[in-house]
Amino acid sequence: MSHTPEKHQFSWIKKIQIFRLPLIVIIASGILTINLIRTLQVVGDLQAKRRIKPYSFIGDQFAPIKAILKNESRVGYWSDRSLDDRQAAALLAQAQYVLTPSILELNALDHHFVIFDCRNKQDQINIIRTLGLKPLKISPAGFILAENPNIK
Amino acid sequence: MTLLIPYFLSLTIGILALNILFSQQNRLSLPLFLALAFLTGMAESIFICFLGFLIFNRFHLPFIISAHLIEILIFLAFHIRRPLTKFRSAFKIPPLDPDLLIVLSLVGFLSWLYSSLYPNGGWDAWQVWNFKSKFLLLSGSRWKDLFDPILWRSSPHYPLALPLWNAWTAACAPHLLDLAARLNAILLNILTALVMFSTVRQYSNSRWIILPVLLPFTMPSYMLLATNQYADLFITVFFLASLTALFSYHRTHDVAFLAITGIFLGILSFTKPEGVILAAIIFLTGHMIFQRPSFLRRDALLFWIATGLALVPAAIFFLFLSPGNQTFFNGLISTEHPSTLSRLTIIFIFLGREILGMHGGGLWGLILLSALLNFKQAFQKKFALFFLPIILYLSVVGTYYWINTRFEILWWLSVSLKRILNSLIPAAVTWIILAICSQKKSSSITDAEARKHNPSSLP
Repeated sequence: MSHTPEKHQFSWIKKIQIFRLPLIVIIASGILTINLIRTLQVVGDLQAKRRIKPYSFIGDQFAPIKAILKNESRVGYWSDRSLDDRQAAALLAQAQYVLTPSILELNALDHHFVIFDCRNKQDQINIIRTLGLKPLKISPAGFILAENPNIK
Repeated sequence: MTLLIPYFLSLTIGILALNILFSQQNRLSLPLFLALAFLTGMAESIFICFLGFLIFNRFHLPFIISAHLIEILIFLAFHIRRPLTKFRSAFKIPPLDPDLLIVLSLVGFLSWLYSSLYPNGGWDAWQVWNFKSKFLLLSGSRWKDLFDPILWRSSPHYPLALPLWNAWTAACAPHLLDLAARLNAILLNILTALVMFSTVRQYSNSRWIILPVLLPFTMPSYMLLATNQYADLFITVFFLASLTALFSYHRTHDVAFLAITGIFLGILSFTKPEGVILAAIIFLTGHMIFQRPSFLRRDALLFWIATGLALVPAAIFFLFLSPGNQTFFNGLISTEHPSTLSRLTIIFIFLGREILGMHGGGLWGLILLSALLNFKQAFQKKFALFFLPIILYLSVVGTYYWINTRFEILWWLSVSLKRILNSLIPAAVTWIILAICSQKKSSSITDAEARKHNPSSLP
């Protein structure tokens, strides 16, 4: 029995074609198994981390001033940190989420209320004094809510 | 319990609407019916909430609930005109499918598990989506401040489908907004799995189909994104639902599928700017596929009307509310940030690495391999409904990455390309399963035909 070269050339493709469905099922089963193992690893690792350091939403530290700001449409947010720093950017974004519907204006001091979040806490107090603002609330995390009596 | 009221109202509207739309001849299976009904109800609720904002200039809960109840009464009136015995005419109840129970329970459990790791969602959840939901719910008549360019970090040019849905589902218990957003992510995952499974179940009774359906939901990289409360999950499920509805139209010629496709395209375009592109691609692809004369007349007209009406909220948003994209530099005309060849090369390499590498759990590799091994079936004209939108969408997205030079490309690709690819996975997997099922089906038809013509030729 003779085969043309063309038939020889593509015979392996035909073999694959015959077994394509089992092949796909085997690969899919392999991926599924690996994925389930990785799921256990990912979830286990995160749960282990959480046991050491429980999940926290850093914006929650702004919750105590929500009642004070509830009627304010705009609030200043003054920070000397660069927002390229993920921690500082996350703090601003989460503060904004917690204090919604007030809108936080970054580095705007011309509001009745201004939130200060500086790296050096003494500088923070000096700035508030220099601007003639009145500190209303100091959080354990270090930010200060200040009031500007000259702006209503 | 009050948290469940909005879900109940939306689902009721969806069930009644689909029961009116679908004919008795093409009855859907109950799981597919319920999935499509929930998505239709979600779309209706989102449109009603948006209408409430336009009329009352605030989130007006009494109006929204009244509108839902009125719509339910109108749909019920349609049903009363029919004999009561035909009330369940649009769906059939199949025997209990254990495979479906496995899929739903596993996807539900995994979604709950992953969402419990990050109860507040990912970064964009609280910076963009949940922030907008909360603002819409609590800001009263100041809701348009949401589009103030000073909030550029929250992407004010992004439309409002997901924030409106979150706000609506938390409307009866605003203090539970975080929980509602988390529940919505789980619900959308379950609906995605339900649409996938119930669509492919129509073509195959094999137990094996649960394997590919479960694949995306067992991938940690997919599930971490799918439970982070981003709007990409809306894109995922409505993209999948649009394609399966169009595919079902191709099979049954039931125009009801075109009507719900139109509604889903409206929601896609109201979810994210890239959703507009996706909706346009699906709309055009649909026209490329359906060239039979009847589609060109009555069916096409219905498709255009449904899509046109559903696009109204997105059109209002983009024309009158959106402040425009605050994060766009046109690299084609910019001398400071030009669109360079190296930028384009990086995009291609990154895309290739994401698709062919193991970053996505090897799923894209399997999809490509399966498509190549079943080339004739996978690239049939009817499946162009699936693969053309995926290819065209990735091309448009790639071009956008290249032209918009606002962001450093490696950072941008690393934070957004994975999300875009993830949102295409369920549709791509469904395409491959349907192609393989159609091959098995066509080969059995060929055997049957061969027996009919030459009974002695087959054992």
